[in-house]
Amino acid sequence: MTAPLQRVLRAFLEDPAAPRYGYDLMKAAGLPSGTLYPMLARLADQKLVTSAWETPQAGGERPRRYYQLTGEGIRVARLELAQARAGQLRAPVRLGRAAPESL
Amino acid sequence: MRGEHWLLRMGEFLVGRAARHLPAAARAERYQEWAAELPVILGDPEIKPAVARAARMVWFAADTLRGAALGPGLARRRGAHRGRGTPGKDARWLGVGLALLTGLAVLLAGLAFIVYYDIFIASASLAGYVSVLLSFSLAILVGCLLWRHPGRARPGVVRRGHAGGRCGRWSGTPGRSPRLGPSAAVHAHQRLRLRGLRRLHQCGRGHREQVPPPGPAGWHAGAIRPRAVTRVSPAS
Repeated sequence: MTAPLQRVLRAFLEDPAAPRYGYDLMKAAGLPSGTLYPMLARLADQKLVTSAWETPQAGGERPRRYYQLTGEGIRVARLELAQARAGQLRAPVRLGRAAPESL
Repeated sequence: MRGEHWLLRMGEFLVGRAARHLPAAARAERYQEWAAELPVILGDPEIKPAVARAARMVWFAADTLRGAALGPGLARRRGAHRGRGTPGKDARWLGVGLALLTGLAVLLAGLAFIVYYDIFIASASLAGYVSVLLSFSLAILVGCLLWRHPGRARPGVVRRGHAGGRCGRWSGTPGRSPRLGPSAAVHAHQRLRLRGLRRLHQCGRGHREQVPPPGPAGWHAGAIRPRAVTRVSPAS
């Protein structure tokens, strides 16, 4: 698991029930957008993260997209972070390697 | 913030370019997502100076472009980051260009702020403004000269010898004017140096009998003169 992915998962696990939008995650994980969004897309393709659009507001602002860890995502994230913390390099789910074609 | 509209337009342009690198199914959705973040960044109260917020927003948009162009599904999987003239490499150079443009924009903004401060806030004196303008113009001119000097006639290359092989690069462009030449003196200097290099080139191809003896009128650069004297010596 890569270090940026660990940071994203930690940011998610600070409050797993809270939906986070991209810029919020960028600030929490300290990652640039060009790194964060492809990673979120991969996590979403692996069904570890779900996303939902904000309801359109009256001010005419564009709705934002919020991300949240799924139940499986929370479990896998905790497991992966624990393994990373323990220094085990081999991971059961290769989160940082799988690269679907969606992004 | 003044100019917020134009900043947003610029950011939307960049994220639009980024979205064009994505598959068609995800393009509109990603564009909406990224474009929705731009006003949030511009209004982020945690970033205090408005300029920093603007820079953050532009950086956000530019980095989405980098991430989309170098995404694993597009360029990196095809090994584009190792190839030549591929989208990945283009995107890398695009990133470099964007970084340079951002640096230039920051420099220009700083200059504009200094001039503004000098005119309207500090002293309101025209002499101060002119002095600041002249000093920065001089600095930029010196920077241009220093920047373009190594890329032109490099005396170190010729000093390392082998005039025939190296001079081929220059022989085809004897009278070409410099692209960014801000100074006629530099231009004349390079023309003289190219003339000397052309003679070195002829020397390397066996026209030694046509080469005049080295002198102040025939050879310009001191850097190439010792090597040329060695190659056209009568013993050879």
